Amino acid sequence: MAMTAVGIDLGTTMSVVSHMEDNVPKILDFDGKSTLPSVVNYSQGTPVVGRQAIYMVDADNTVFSVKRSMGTAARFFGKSAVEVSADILRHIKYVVRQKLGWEVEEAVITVPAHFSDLQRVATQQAAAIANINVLRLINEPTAAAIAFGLHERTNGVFAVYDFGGGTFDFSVLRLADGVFQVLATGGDNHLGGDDVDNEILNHNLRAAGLETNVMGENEKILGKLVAKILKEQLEDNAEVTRGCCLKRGELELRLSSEILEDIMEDFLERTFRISDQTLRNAGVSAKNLDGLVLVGGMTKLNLIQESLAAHFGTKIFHDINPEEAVAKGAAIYANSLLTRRSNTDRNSKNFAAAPLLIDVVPLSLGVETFGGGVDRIIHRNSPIPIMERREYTTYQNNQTGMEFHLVQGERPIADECRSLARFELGNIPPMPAGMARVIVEFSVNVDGLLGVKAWEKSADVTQFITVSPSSGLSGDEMASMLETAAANITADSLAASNIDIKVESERMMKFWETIVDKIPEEAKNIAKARMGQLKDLLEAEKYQDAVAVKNELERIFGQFLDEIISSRLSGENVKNIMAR
Amino acid sequence: MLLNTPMAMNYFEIFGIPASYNLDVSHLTEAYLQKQGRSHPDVGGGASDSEDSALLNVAYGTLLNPLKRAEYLLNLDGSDISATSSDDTAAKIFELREKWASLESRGERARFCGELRRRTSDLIDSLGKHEKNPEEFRKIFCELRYVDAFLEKVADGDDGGWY
Repeated sequence: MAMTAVGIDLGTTMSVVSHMEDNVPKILDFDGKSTLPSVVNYSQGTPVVGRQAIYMVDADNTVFSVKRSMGTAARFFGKSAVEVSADILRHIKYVVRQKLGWEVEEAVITVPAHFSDLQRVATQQAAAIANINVLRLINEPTAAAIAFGLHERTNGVFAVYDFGGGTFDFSVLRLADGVFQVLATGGDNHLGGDDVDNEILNHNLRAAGLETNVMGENEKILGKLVAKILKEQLEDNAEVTRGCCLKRGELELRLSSEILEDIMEDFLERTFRISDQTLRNAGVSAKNLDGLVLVGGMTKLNLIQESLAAHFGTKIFHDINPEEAVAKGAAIYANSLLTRRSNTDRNSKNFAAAPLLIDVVPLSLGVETFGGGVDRIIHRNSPIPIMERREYTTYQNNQTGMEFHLVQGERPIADECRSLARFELGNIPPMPAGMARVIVEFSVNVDGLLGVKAWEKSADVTQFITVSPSSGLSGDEMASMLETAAANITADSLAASNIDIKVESERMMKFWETIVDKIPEEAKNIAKARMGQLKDLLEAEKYQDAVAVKNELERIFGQFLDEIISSRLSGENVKNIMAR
Repeated sequence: MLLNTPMAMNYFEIFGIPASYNLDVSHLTEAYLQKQGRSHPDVGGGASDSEDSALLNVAYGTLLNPLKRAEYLLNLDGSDISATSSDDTAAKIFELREKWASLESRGERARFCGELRRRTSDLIDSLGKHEKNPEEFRKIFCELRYVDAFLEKVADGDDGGWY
C-alpha cells in the first residue's frame, strides 16, 4: 500500500501536522486551527490533549511544555516525559484517523536543532510507544528551510531564525539545486514565546504592586492565555487591555508597544548573540547572506521583524507561514524518503527531484579525560553521518578495564557538559601501562543519534553502546511499553474508531452547550443547528457522517474559544463540565 | 580511517582536486555535494552507503577547515607535527593564559577574542603564501593551532551553547 508521507512538528507549546496530497503539503486541522497545543490533561481516565486540556484550567492534572523535560527523569502523574509525548502523538494519530480516514504509521518528526542526543532518543521512544515508525528525525530550522527552498526555488546561503513557543534555533544553510547543506547551527532550548508571555504577565503583576508568585497555578494558565492574546492583538493597536480573573478579584492586564519592546529587548539580545556566533561558526557574515527566513510563532510580531532587519541588514523572507513551515518541510522530506524507498531506479525523474538534506551535529561529543577535562571526538557542526576514532591507552600495569564517560556540550569541563552515558571496556589483556591500544569509535547517524564502539586492538573485545537516556525510561520499561503498543495496533485501528467518535462527540457536545450562547449571533445559529444534527446522527449510529459535522463544529467554535475561556470561565467550571 | 576506499586514495584524490593548501573552496564543495548526492544514506539504502557518506563528510570537513587542511597536508608529507611544538609554543600558550586571566570585564575579553580571531585569519592567509616553504609553513601552522585551540577553549566555552 502506498504510504502517505506525514511530517510532525512536535513543539513545546504547539504541535503541527502536515501530510502530502498530490505533492502539496497540507496542514491538519485541529479545532479549526492549524496548531494542536502540546498540552495533556489526565483527569478523565483517557488523556485529553490540545485546546480542551487548556480550557479545563486544571493545573493539578495538566502537563504543559512536556518537551522541555524530554531526556530527563521528570515524572508527571506517574508518567515520564516520553509517555506524555506519546499521548500527544496518539492524539494526532486519532485526529488523522477521524479526519482523513487513514492510519499514521510512519512520519518524519522534527526536533530543535539544539536537542541533545538524550532528547533525540527520548523523542524516538515516544514515537515508538505511539506505534509510529520514525522515518527520520530532522531539525526544525532545516525542515523549515526545505519548505522555504522548494517554495522559492532559489539557490544561495540563507539563515533560518526560528523563534518558537519554547525554543530558539538559528541555522545557516546552503541551498544548491535541491541539496540542503547545513553549515552551522546554534540555539537555546529555554528561550521561546512562552517565556515572553510569562514576562508580560509578571510585568503586569509588578505594575499592580503584586508579587510575581501571587498567582495560583490555575490562575497562571489563564493569565498566560490572556498575555498571549494581548501579544497577538497588539499587531493592530498601540495598546490593548483585558481582564483576567484572580481569586482576589479581577486584574486588568495591559500591553502597549513600548512595554512589549522593553520586554523583548533582552530576549532579542539573546537570540542575536546566538545568531552572530553561529554565523561565525559557519564562516559567513550577515551581509553575505542571501536572506533570513523567519520561522516560529514569535516571528509574526512586527516588532521582531523590524529588529531583525536592523540587526542582520539582509533580505527578510516571511512569505512562508512561520507556524506551518516546519511541519510542511517535514512532510516534504518524508515524501522524498518514501519516494526513494519505493523507487529503486536512481535515474528516474522522481528520484532526482527529491530534496537531499545534509545536517550537522549540534553539540560536540566527546569523552571525559583523566582530570575532568573533555576530549572532543566529534566537533559541533560536523556534517552527518560521521565517524571518528580516538586511541587511548592504559595508565597502570596490567590494567584490564577502562571506563569511559560520554559527554555532550561545548564546555571544556566534563561536569559542565551533558552526561550521556558511562561504560566500561573490560577484558583488556594484562600488559605494561601504556601498551594497550584502546580504540573508541564515535558515529553519528542521519537522525543525529550517537553510537559508540570501543575495543582493544590486540584482544578483539568489541563493545558497542547505543546511548539511551540515563534517566527517563529504563530498558525494561521501554520494552514492556513497546509490547503494549504492539498489542494495541489493532485496537488503534479504524475498526475501533466508532466508539472513539461517540465518546469524543458526546464530551464535546457537553462542552459546547455551555459556551454556545457566548459566541456571536450568526455563528450561534449555525452551531445550534449542527449540534442538533450531530445528536441525531450519533443516535442513528451514522458515525462517519457525525465526524464531518463534529469537525465543522470544531471549526465554528475554534475561532472564539480562546476569547471565551480566558475572559468568562473560571477554572472549576470547565473542569466540572468536562467531567460530568 | 579510510573506509571502502583504496588506502592509496587521500582526501584530495577522493574529490579529484590537487593536494594543495590553496584550494578552491567552491570547487571542493561542488565535488562534495555531487558525491554526497550519490552516497548519502537517504538516496542509497545499501549498508555501506552510510560509511561512504561518513567518509565524505570527514574528508570534506578536513579539507574545508584551513587548520585541519594544513595538518592533513603535513601528515601526508610524513612530518611529525608533535615534534614541531617547540618550547617557544608552550611559553606562548602560557602567555595567552596569563593575559586572559588578567582581563576583568566581558568587554575586554570580547576585544581580546576579536584580536585573536584577526590573528587567526592572518595566519590562515600566510599559510597560503608559504606553502612552498615547508619550514615556515610548519611554524605558522603551530601558532595557528595553539591560537585556535585557545579560542575554542575560552571563547566558545564562554558564550557557546546553553550547557
